Amino acid sequence: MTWLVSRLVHFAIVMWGVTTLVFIALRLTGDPALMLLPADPTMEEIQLTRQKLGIDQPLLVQYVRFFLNAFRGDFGISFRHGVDATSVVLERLPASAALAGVALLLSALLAVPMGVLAAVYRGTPIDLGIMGLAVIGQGVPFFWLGLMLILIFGVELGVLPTGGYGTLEHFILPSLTLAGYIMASTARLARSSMLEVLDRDYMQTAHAKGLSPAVVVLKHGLRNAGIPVVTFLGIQMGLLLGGTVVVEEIFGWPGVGRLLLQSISFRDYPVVQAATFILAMAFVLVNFTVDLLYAVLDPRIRSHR
Amino acid sequence: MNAGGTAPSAAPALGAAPVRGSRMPARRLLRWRHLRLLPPLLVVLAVIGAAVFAPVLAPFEPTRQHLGDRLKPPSWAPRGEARFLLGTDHLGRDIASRLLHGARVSLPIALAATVLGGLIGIALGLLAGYFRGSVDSVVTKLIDIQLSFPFILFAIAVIAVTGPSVLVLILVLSARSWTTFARVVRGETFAISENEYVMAARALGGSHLRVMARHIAPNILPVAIVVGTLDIGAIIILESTLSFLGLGIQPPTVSWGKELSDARQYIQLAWWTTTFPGLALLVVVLSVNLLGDGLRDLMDPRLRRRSR
Repeated sequence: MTWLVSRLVHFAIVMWGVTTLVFIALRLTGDPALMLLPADPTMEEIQLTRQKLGIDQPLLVQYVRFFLNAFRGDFGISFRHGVDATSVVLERLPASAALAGVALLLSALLAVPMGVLAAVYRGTPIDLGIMGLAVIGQGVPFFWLGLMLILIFGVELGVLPTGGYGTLEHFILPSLTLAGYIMASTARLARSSMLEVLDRDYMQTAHAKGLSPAVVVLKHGLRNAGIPVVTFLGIQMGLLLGGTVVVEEIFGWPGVGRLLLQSISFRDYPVVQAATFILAMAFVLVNFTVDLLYAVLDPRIRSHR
Repeated sequence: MNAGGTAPSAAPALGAAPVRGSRMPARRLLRWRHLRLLPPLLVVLAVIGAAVFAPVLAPFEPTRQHLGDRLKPPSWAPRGEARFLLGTDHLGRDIASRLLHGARVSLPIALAATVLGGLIGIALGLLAGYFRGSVDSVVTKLIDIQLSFPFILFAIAVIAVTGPSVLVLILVLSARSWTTFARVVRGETFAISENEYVMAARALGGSHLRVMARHIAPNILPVAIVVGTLDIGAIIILESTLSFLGLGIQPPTVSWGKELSDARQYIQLAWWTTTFPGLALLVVVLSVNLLGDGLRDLMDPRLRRRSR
């Protein structure tokens, strides 16, 4: 129970930290009144707008008000779209979440078997090949991987769309790119946690019982080696949310990341803040959920922390 | 940003897999590991050399345009010209020359960010590991908070506000790298301050600062160098990612990330413009990573576990 409380406190601190960061960023941007008004406004106009925005108040009042507004999801009206900034962001959220989810699934389906294979065939060419691939994978800038995938499958072979959104085909290249972001490290972790499990007593017992090697590895091994891998993948979900910014930009994916970048170049600050805040919250929430799940999966954790 | 320092280490069992089962003599093991360091070290040195001597090595000025020779393929491809080894970009600028000059920008920035992040991380890690208690919990909390926020989002938010510049880029990147240093140094300091010589130094009347600076820090340094080598690859990738998004290095300064974003529009016409800057990145990051892996195994096998 104390564990749960300490996680909740941590969660609250992080949320507070993120909100404060966004607030500071807002204050650093300069006078929002000047940004809203047409060129060369009169002093009166400036004063009026500042009053309307509430930025004539003391900083502390502004901070508290911002805090409350942020948690109500009120970041103001988008300069560019003319509607509530939060709804602009929320509209784009499903596309980003879908991309990150598919990428996560893909990297689990590809990287975990590779890691297990490398562990089982430790020291053989299979292991060296897979781990060599992982080492190279960690050196590849994943946005470049995306460009290369476009070049090969989109341009040279012409079999897959190079950008856009809609059908299942549109998912392949972006999600592969994003999966590539975390696959190397996932495979390495899967390998090392499998190795740790392989020479445990219960594995010997399972072998001795006469079970087939595949059953031993998959049922007895992977089940135990899987716990750290699942947690790791959960933590990576947050990284993926960050990574979507880049991948969406490359593939013209209509998600929050692309919206964020576009809003930066349009100086559409309400949307920038809403997007940053919502992505960060999603990240924090996912981490929190993974922590909880982890404790449910493995009761030992609760007493350890 | 391929998970950088948090990546689980699976140091390849290359050196440690003597098939004959019996223990290898320590000296031979050492030599074999030295040998493993050699190829990445040579590549890194070659790249540094290429960056330093870029003005001499590059056949053209990086900004020199040959408008008659736009999007020329590499010299070995059909239509290629010998004077443009890796071809030209959409303004007829020599890609090889631009890559050489790009190294002069990307590498020093990554190095500066790693050194700065290293100094901050070492200082905080030392303080946390030495004083423990509340200092430690503050530092650990700081690390925790930073790690529970997608870094690239933080970088984008900061740069969106301040506007892109080299200084901001270095500061933002160092904000990414300090946590790795702090975590490892904290653990090392925990272990080192248990030693009798540390207590002896205290007993002799050495101040906390003196003990930390004279007795602990020198022992931390090798570890910090390994951490830095392991981390700098991720920093190089991050820098290129930010520059790719238009939030890093601004033209006319050449950087590999920016090259890639310019080249994107011509991907249908000229594969070489997107391929070579990425290959350059890959080669540099890969060799730095391998160098870091090798150094880690060589200097301190324990670090492998602790840095996870």
